[in-house]
Amino acid sequence: MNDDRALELLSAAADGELGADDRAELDQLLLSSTEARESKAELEALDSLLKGLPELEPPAYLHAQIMARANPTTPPQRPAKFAWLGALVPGAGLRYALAAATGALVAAIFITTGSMLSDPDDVTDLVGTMAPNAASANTDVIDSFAFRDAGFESDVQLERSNGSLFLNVQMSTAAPLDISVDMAGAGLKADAIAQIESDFDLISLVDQALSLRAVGEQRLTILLRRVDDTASAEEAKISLEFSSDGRLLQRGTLTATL
Amino acid sequence: MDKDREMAMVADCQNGNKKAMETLVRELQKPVYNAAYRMMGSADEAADVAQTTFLKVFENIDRFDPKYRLFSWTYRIAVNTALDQLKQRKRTKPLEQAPESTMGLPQETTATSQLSAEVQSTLMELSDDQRSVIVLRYFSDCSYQDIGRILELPEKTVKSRLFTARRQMKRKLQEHGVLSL
Repeated sequence: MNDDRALELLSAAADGELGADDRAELDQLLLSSTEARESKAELEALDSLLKGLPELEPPAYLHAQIMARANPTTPPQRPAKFAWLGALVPGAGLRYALAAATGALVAAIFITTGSMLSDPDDVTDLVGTMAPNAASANTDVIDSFAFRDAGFESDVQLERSNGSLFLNVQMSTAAPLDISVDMAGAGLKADAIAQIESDFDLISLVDQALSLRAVGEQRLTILLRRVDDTASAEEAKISLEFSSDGRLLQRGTLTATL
Repeated sequence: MDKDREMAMVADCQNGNKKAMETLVRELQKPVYNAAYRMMGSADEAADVAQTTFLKVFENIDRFDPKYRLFSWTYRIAVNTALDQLKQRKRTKPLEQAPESTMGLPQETTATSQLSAEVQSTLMELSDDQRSVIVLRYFSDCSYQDIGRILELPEKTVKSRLFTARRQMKRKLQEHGVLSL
C-alpha cells in the first residue's frame, strides 16, 4: 500500500467521512506501517496548523457599505438643497457663489471616491460648502476623541457652531485608516459634507452611519442633524471604530447632551 | 442560526425588509469575509468579494431554493465570486505576485503572524480548485456534502480533491520548513 492511499484514508478519517470498510483498512495500516503513522502525524500537524489560523474581523465599514449598495432605492431623507446655507452664510450673493462651488465639490467628491460611493444618487446628499471652520470663534467643542496608534493619529470632535452640529474628523496616517461612525445612539445623521480637505478613498453617508477611508493628512467636516427634530434633549452617544486593513485598532465614543 | 429562523429571515428579505437584510449581512459577513480572504489572500479583495457576494444574494434572494441552507448558498456565491475575481486578476495582471498575505490579520505575536503568513502564502500556491476545497473545509467548516453542493461536485470528487489539496499543502509547507515532520 502506498503513501497516497494512506493519506487518502487519513484525509477522509480526519473529516469524519470514512466508511466502515475503509476504517478497518486504515486501522490495519496504522498497525503495520511506520510510514502510515508518520503520514497520520503529518496530517494532524497540517490540520492543527490550518485550524489554528486566526479568524479575521471584517473591516468596520463593510456592513454599512454593503447595506448602502443593497438599498439604492431607499429614498434619502434630505433637506432642501442648500437650505441650511442660509443659517450659516449671510448674504445671498455669497450663498449663490458657495452653492456653485458646492456643485464642483460634489463632482470632485464623486470622482475621488468613484465606485466606493453607495450609489450615484447618493451624491445628492453630499451637498457641501466651505462652511464654518471648526476652529472659528463661534465653535464649541462638545466632545472629542483622540486615537493614537503606531503610524496612525486621528481626532474626532463633535462641535456646535451657529446652532448647527458638526462632526470634525482629522487624520494623519502612514497607511489607510478606516473610521466608522455610528450615530444611531445619538439620534443624529450625517446631513452633508460641510468641508473637505484632501482626498478620501471612501466617504459613505448612509442613514446614521458614516464610513471613511483615507491615508495621509486628511480633514473632513460633516454637518449633522437630528433624525427627529422634535425630540427633547438627551444624552447622545456616537460610536467610533478605527481600523486598518481589516484589523480593528480601537473603539471610542463621543458623548454629549444635545 | 436554525433552519426556521433562516427561512423566516429569507422570507423577510424577499419582501424587502431592510432589517432582515441587515441581520443577514451581520450574521454571515464574518465567515464570508474569512473565506474570501483565504481565497484571495488580500484584505481589500476579500472585502470586495464579500460585498459583491451579498449584493448577489439580495439580487437573487427570490430564487433561493429552501432545500438548501442559506450559508451553503451564500458560500457558493462567495466562492464563485472569488474564483471569478481570481480569473480576472490572472487575465489583467499575469506577472503580479500574490498579494501580501499578512494583510488583514489581527494583532498577533510576531511568531504567530509569520506562521499565518507562511500558511496563507502556501494556500495561494495551490490551484484555485484545491484552495476552494481547503477553504470550505477548514475555514467554513463544511462537510463533504456541503462542499459538493457549493462547488457542484460529486462527494467522491470532493474527497479526492481534498486529499490532493492536503498532499500538496503538506509538501509545500514542508518545503518552506513550516511543517517539519
